[in-house]
Amino acid sequence: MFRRLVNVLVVVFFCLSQYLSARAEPFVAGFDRFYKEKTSDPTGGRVLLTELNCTACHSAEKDLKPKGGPSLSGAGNRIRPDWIASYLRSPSHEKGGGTMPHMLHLVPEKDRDAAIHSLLAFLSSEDAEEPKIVASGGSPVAHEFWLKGDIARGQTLYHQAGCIACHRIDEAFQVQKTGPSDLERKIASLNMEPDELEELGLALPKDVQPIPMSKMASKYNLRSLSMFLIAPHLVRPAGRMPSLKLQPHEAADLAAYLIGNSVASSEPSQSAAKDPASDIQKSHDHDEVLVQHGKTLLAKLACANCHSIADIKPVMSKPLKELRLNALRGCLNEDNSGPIFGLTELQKEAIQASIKAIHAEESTTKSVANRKAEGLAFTMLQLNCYACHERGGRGGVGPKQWPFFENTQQMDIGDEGRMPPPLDHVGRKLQTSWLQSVLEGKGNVRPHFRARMPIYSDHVKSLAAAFVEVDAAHGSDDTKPSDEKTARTFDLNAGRELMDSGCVQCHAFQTESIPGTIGIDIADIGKRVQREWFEAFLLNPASLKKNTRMPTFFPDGKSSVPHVLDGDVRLQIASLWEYLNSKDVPLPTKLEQSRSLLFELVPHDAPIVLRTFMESKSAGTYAIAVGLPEKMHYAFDAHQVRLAEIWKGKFLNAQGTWFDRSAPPAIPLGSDRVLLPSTSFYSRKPKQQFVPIDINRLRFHGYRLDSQRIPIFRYSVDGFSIEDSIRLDSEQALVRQFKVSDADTSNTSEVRSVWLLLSDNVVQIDKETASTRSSLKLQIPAGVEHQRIQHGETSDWMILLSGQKAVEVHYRW
Amino acid sequence: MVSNDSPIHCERTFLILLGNSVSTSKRQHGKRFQPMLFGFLRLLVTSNLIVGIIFVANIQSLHADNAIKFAESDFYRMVTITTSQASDSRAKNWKPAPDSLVLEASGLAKLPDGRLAVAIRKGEVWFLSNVYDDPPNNVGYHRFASSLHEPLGLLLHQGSLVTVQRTEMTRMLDKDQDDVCDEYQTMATGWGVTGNYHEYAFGPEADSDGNLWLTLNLGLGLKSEQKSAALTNSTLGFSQALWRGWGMIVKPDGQLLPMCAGMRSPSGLGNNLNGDVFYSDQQGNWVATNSLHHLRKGAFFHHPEGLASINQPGSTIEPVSEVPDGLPFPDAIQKLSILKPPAVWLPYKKVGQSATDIMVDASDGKFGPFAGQIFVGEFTQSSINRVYLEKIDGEYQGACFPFREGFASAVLRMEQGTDGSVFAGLSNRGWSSLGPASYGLQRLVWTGRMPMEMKEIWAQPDGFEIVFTKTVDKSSAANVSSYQLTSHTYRYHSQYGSDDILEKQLDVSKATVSEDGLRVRLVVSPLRQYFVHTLDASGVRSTDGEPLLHSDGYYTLNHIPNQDR
Repeated sequence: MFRRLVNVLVVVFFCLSQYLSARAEPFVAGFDRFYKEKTSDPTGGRVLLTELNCTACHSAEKDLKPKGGPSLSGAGNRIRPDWIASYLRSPSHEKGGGTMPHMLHLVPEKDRDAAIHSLLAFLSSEDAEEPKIVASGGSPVAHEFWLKGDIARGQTLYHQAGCIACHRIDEAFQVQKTGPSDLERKIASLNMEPDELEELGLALPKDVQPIPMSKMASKYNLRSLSMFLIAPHLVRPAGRMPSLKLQPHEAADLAAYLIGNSVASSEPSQSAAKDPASDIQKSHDHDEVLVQHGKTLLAKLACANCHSIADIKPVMSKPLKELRLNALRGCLNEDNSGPIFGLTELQKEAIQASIKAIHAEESTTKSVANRKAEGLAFTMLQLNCYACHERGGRGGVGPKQWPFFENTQQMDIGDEGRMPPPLDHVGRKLQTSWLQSVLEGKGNVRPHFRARMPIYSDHVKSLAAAFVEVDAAHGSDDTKPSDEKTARTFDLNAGRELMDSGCVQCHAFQTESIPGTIGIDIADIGKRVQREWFEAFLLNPASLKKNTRMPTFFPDGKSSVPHVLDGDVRLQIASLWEYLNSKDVPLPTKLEQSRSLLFELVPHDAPIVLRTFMESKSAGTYAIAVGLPEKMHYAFDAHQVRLAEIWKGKFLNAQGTWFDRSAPPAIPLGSDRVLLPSTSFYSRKPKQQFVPIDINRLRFHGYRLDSQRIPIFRYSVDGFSIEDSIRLDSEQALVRQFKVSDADTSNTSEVRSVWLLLSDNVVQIDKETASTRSSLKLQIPAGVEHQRIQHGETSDWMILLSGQKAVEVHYRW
Repeated sequence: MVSNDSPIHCERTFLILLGNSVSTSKRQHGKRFQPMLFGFLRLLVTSNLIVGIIFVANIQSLHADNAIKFAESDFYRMVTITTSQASDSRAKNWKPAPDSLVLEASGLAKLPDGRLAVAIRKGEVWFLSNVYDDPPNNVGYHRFASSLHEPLGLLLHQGSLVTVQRTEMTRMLDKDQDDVCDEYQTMATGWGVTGNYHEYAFGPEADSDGNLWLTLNLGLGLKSEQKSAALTNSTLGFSQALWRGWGMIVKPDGQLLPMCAGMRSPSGLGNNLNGDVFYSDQQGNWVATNSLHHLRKGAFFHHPEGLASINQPGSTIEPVSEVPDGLPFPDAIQKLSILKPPAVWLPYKKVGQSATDIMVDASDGKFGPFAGQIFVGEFTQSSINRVYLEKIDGEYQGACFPFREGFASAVLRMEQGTDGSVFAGLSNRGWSSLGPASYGLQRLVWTGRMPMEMKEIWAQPDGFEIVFTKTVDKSSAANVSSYQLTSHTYRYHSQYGSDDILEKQLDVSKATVSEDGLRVRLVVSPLRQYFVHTLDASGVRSTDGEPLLHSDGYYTLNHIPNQDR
């Protein structure tokens, strides 16, 4: 009994402590992670100055531009009114760790409810802005998609897309870990005590604290949260919360998970199931007086300093420079004369240090380059780029978050196969234009990553150029450009051969890869990577990327493939570079092999038939290609009813026909391709010229397979039924066998004839044999009626089919 | 099954809120602290449970009003026979997993011996056995035919299977009866094929006269060489290969005849119980939203590029000199005499984004309360929608409703099994679908439980009559505020799709419940000819208090009947 009482008490105490321990002070990731213990460094305080919007009231130079607050337009129509009211009453109580200061204490207690009422009226007086979501055949958008989220899917997405780099990890989520990270592996291998590791500078990085979120279920409904997640910038122009490129259904899943709404569970919910949180409605009783009152109050409370609201002007306080740190009044002294931030002593110290530094700034001079580098690092602190990316020994994914960064195949290919890339000297590695498109959310060379590089909107516009500028200024000798002359000499074939010596073991090229590998597609690398970096990286990968699994193919500066280009290192690299950046080059042999393993049709015991598109000079769009095990193949055009092409060696690759949306023509893989006449059948009235038989008098009837599964084509030509099959003769040549039935002449008394044009431009060898320019040797049986139409040295060769019953023609080439 | 709110979910929600403190404690304490840590953790779990339970109680009281909440799965259960891994099948160089049977189902037909024939897009026909097993752990796969060029339909016709390939209609025969096709008979060929990827050919479907119908997709973005293989109508300026955008029949004597034109992407064909054949079209240029059309000689449906063939011998459409671009659809009908409205518009997103196959429920009740109705497959949203048709003034029109979503991939084909259940053939290659798998085969089975649905909507001279699947609670059904009605139409133009235009709220002045409690007659004004009338009956409850599973229906009112029905 006593024990139970204790238990209950403990539980109550625990709940209370949870309740009370909600973070009261504002949380700023860049400060918390890097400057909490270095309060004398003014940078930490500077981050607080912008992220807590100090400089929204205390103006400062433009590199301390305040973050700004969310857009308030229509806020009352997307956020629950109860939540807004509670938040206004006490921001830190409603959202522990939030950066919005308490302002309403400036309104006398007795007037506060009325104040909130009018503020709500104002915030609800406009429609909430929503992103425009375009649906099409390629982009599914379910009707009322926000109602159709799935909690489990949302939970998975939350942990895989990258949300947890900044936000809290859900312990209930079962992560399937591929393996330890490279650093963990290394530490484990050393087998040392933590303090020894620390001395080596090898300790596991410290935990990263998550950025707090509001209580989603109290704040949003499914619709407003989904819309927010799809386009965070609409509501939060500050861009600290980036867009994770969510599809509408993904946003719905995430919203379902974050709100914990179980209307949508494993089965998508019904359209009839209305959003249970649909109590966010535009108030119909629009009280203009109340709205105006709310607006006035907003202006008075200086809300417009952080939140841009219609035509309200900010109310500025003393500029930052003029602030006296020993003043008795003000935000840092918490005398309730202004906003209450709930700052910790450390945060206050840091802010004071930064203001002191600003006071002293005139006396210090810094080089422009230094200022640029610091400015860049500062932006990365503000945007929390460090949550994912390491640069200059700072930041990167926190150790608790490591297991959640995975590739789609859960393949252990090192940290670079799953973790966001470090950004050290990225400005020397990447082209500015490519960096720009990555930042705009367009470039993605790592489709095998589960985590997504988010879009930070306009705030990162200048970042690409800044990286390039800062890194160029800090360049070292390892990326010295090779002299121009060597760079211009290259050998594409050698480049192709070099690919096989290593690259294709991990990398894709032009979307082809060896099965079971995943790696960045290195085609068109010049669009992304700078030439100098490429060369330096190839020469010594580890010097530019620690822990990389990219091996060096040039140990001690010598090529490991000495037989190519005499082992000339610069020439090899130049050739590889050119090959990678060329469009119409054959695939590296190993990729070609792996591709053909999957899709090359290789007839073994029986012929293979493939109906496909072929080029118009070959069998065209009605092609029936036949591959024989004896490596002789042909293509029949079922539209013009003719044998169109014969070739030897390899048959065809079926990938385009089977699986490529663009339905490209199949092109014979083999050699000795011979194209046959584009018109096959002619007729001739006695003593007249040969005339091609009109296509409307040709009819294809299909084919049947004989006991060897060789197709026997059936068609009719001008009323004659013909069976036409091609197989191997005893001398390993192709023999084409025609069987001709009498024409149905019931409707006509006209005498008709059908002639087959064997080939044009033949040179006579003997009576039954002739050869063509493409060295095709044709042979007909003795006694068959045939004609030559002479054109100078060569002739068109015709044989009569009608009335013959069976005719064999041999094709040798 | 009452509400999906389960304690498990709620508890998990709470765990998230507390998750952070748990994780911190776990990591930072060394071995020495473990007993203490465990105690602490146990405490955490206990407290979570308690708080969780309180939380559940709260939720249930909050939702007391919505106590009965059913999901589609309570009425129609999905059985997965096979599905592939998810992959980006829109990617240019999409490849299936090696060594797998790439069951991109593009045609389904049940065989007399109980097996299911499945045509797949790479060009084969497979016979699947034991497909009705539940769970389907014993499905057998046998390849019957191969070397077909993207067959997009399958029909058992006069004892053998018939398909339509890109270039021909083909009958597959097994002369030596070894269960493998040995003769591919060309039944009909001769339509234009320039080699453009978008020139799909669909079918066949038999009508009551013994004709076999096929439909031909328009080419899209013809390359220069492809253009030279196309026809151009110089008056109208449209260029497409012969009979592209047309529906054609192959008569029992083997003749191939063009019948009707104006299709864009007619990927679905199907007949109703009368043997009339319908096709579905997909939103795009000139096609305002997905639609269902009755195939008949001389009809022109909407997309004018098919008029490139209008002067060819055999054309059934009178030449026109101009196609209006930008009019509201009802005005376009007045202006362009050949233009025939669809029997049903399927409003975008609300009833799908890319309509596919058409299947009539011929199971006489084994598939639930919708016997005789038409089901339309849905590619992008991986779902199936439902259509009720009636004939007014000799023409089909009617209403569509959402039916079942949540398939693993795009629903491309449907076939009703011998037990009334419905096979859904899946493949999303080339586009995208909500269901992330690339392909597969699933089966939809009626659980036997009656869903509360609007079964039918009839047009009446002064409004509509709704037929429900279950008797309605009279107080909610007779209350005019239980219904929200609007109407809208679309713009007939060369752009991709159309917004809902000329939208209007309608006035419901009277709701009269029939004596048997299954029908409600609504007096509505105004009614507008050719407009889509949206009926939202979310206020209606069944006599046992159940709300509608789908509260919305969309009636295409091409004709307003002039007398009571």
